[in-house]
Amino acid sequence: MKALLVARVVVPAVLTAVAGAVAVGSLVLGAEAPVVGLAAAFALVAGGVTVAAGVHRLAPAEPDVETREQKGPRLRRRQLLLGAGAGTAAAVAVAVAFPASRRVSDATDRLRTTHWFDGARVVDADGELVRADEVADGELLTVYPEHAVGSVDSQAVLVREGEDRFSPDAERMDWTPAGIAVYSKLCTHMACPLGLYQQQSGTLLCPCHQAVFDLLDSGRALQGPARRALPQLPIRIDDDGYLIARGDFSDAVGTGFWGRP
Amino acid sequence: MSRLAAVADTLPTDRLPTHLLKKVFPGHWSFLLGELAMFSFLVLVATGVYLAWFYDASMEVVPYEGSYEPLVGVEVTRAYHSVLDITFDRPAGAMIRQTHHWAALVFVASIVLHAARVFFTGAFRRPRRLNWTIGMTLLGLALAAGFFGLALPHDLLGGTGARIGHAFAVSIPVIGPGAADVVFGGEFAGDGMMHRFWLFHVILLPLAIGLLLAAHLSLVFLQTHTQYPGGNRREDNVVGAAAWPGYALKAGAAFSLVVGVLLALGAVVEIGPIWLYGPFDAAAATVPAQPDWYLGWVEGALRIVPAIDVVVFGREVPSPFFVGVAFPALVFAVLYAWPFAEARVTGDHDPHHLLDRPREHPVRTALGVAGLAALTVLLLAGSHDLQALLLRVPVDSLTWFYRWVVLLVPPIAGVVTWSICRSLVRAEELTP
Repeated sequence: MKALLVARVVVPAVLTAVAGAVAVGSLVLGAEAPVVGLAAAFALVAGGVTVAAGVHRLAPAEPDVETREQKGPRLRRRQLLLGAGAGTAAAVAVAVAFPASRRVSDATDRLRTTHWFDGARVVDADGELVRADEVADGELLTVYPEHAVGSVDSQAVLVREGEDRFSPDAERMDWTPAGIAVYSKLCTHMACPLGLYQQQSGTLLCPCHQAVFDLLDSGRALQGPARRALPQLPIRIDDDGYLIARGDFSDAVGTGFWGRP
Repeated sequence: MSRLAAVADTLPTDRLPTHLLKKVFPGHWSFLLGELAMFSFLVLVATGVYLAWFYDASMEVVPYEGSYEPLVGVEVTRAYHSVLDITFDRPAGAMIRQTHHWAALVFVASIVLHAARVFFTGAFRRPRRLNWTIGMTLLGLALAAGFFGLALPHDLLGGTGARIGHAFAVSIPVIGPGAADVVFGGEFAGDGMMHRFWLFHVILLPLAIGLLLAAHLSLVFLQTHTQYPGGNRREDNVVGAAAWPGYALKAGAAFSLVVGVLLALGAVVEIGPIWLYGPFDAAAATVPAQPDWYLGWVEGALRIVPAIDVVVFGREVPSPFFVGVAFPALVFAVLYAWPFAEARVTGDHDPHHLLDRPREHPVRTALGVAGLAALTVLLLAGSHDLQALLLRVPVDSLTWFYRWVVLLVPPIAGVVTWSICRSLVRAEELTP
């Protein structure tokens, strides 16, 4: 019995004291935070073991017993509570719905449009104008409208491939001048920015949930959880060789939402 | 008089109402899981106060000036800057921040385990149905607090998480765009976003969790704790340790252990290295990108649920709504409704204080295991890009693999559980 007491209570108690002393000592001496923290953590664990073992050791042989009142169901109170809960929920719903409904139409309009418009000049992430002949074949570039560099919903990817590699939809035949196509950079699944371009297949992969888009075929969704094609930006090349947008994207960018079409 | 009582008598406890001191709490290891959740919450509050002391919820962009060399001069938001400062330039900041993060993981894990214990032992039955719904609300609030907490440092991973949350909000029919506007303070990554998140994570959600936790514990106290059958334990008594001294000392010991372990983890085991993820950049995402474990089941569902955008009345309901809003809502609806549905199906409306043995309720146990299996498969699917890399197989193959597994494994797990329960009971009937 005595040996057990020593093993289970006295040893952890001594360890607690030592670790506690180390924690305080290292704190006073200005040791690194993890050292102080580890010593304190050790003291807490050993202290917990000491108390738990002590309680166990000293606990009465017979457990404590308490009688439990037997109460039947009290339906009237329950119904009253449920009624009050439903009333409160309805009041909260109404209070939220009114201001929310006024914001929905504004917010939806903002989701539908980006900062691109007919005549917006295409710039890179540093705000430099992009010249068509400066983009190398197989290059993927993140671009913005000149007046909204860094804008979340206007960010786009520019890719240049040989003109014969593109097979765009009929109405988009002139959207890829000089083999340059520009698409929204936001995945149509969860609006993650797309990143990993595979030049061989002309496909772009979303790092978040692995949707794959075909940049050579009007941004069509090929694999994974996205259904809609990447919205494409109609572009032209001006007389000085710079890229210019001919309007906003072909569709709302990013995740779908109520009121998108 | 026992020796423990003799020790306790040296304290002036006679000034407290004796019925409180004599309140009896049954002892079983599985009853500690709820305590573990409560203690982690206390650690979260304590470390959270320290973090809130120095955190700056501003999205103003400034060049980083601090002692983490690789990022000096990089344009970052003040929010990210302040978390780097906490980590590298505040006393014990890194340890406190990591303890907070570890405590959050343990907090949600212990709530889930505690809820599973309550579920499989039938502790949710009358008169504890109200407390079950409070507990489920606490779980939901804990998940929400975790989501906003991950986003607060405004690093690339947290920012990507916020982006996913925004896509979910926007996808809700009718109110989605407006609701997203309210929660995210305007368009995504607008200037007010971090301030809103700070309000949710630091004030509203902890306050709600604290109040509901108080209600949860009060109900446990007033309704008395359940106990396992056997010995002299009956419906009309509670057998265990009195609140003072036995239970209080044991709980104190457990608290000390929990704080010690979480502090040790925070001191030594790196978690959430936002300086490696880098500052949030609207045009980039981290690779690989996984949320903390308790949001992983939604992440997994996002990866394997095929594109199912639906058009209703000419309006679009995109797939993120089904995966990220409707599916979690369905899971919680089932959990909330379970005690009431089970009472209706079994016709058992009596109050119960003795717990069930899971094997004696094979259908409930089987359905619970099937549900947990489905969520576990989804959690695994949440990192399938990493697994594809590790196994050198195409990601798309693993997507299809998990689509099948999530359909096949839960029913199999349920049937196997059911037959194990039945044979365990039969074996007991055979042994005299």
